Amino acid sequence: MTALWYTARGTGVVALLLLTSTVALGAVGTARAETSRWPRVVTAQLHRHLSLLVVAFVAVHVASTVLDPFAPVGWTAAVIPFSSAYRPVWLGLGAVALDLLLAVLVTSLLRARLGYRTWRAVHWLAYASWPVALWHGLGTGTDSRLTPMLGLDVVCVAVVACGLWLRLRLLPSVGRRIAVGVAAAAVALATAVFAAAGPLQPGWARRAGTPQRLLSGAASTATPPGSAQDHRQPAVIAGAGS
Amino acid sequence: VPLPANDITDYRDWLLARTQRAQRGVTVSAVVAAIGLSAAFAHELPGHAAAQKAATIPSRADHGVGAASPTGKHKAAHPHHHHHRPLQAPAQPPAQPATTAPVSPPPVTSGGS
Repeated sequence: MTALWYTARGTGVVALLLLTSTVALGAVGTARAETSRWPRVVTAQLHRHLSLLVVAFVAVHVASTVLDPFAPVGWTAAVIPFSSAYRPVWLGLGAVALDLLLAVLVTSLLRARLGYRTWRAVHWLAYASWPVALWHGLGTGTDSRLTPMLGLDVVCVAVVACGLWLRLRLLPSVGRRIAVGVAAAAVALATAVFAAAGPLQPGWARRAGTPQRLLSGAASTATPPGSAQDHRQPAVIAGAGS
Repeated sequence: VPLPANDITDYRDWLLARTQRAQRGVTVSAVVAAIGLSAAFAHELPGHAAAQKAATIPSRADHGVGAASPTGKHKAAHPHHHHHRPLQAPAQPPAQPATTAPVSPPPVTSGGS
């Protein structure tokens, strides 16, 4: 079952990268940015292809997490937010992101039936699913503390910020532009503060809601609970890496 | 790839080929990245390895003999999943304590306390 665990972690990271690219490409396409060698139709097709790829990778991520037997994460907890016994909040954010993605996917597939306005209103949820997925990865990811993973998170934030900046230029109202910009900056700042005060601190596994059974089982084979390393032990057994 | 001439069919084909090439590249890159990351996690990224060495006895932790990793259940349950290297003789024998040179007491120059 170890392979399942590594698969969950790898696909989770790649899914976040793909989701980041999808959000950024969507913003670039909406901003009508194009060159002669990269017309908008290529951007639109790539955006659609990437979003389907995100769903595929998230499906593998969820399946490998649930099938990995150690952490008590069931199929229900993967879809219904905050119903998991294991790290309910942070795993629940992953379920929220998954549900939002599914809503965007289904409405995109039914776009012709729903009409443009309904589809567009739901499609804005994609912007909400991205930070939720990022927080899910930070909160319950095994490798959140690793420098490469932190670097990837920073790159993801930077890419989405660039796409959002392009998108904001299209808003006609200066007031709305400033409001959305401030909200986005607040989200980025909150993410940085959360990462510094939560997952990057020792003892995060206990505070995140890892069941005591897993904590004591891991602690009995390694360093004592509460030590500088104990946040890593249950993180590996989380079954919901970023 | 040069831009096609004014022929709209050529242009459409060119766009289609470009899109498909980009999609193929993204898909292959994503799959390779997922496999590579999984393999990297399986063989432990440097951060995990450093934490493991810091938390366990160095000579045993490197080979996963008896020392559980601080990174969790999978490492603890499968401590032999990698780093299987046969034991080898050291390149140099350990330094022997000198037996011929007598150890002289430190000189007392101040007459004691």
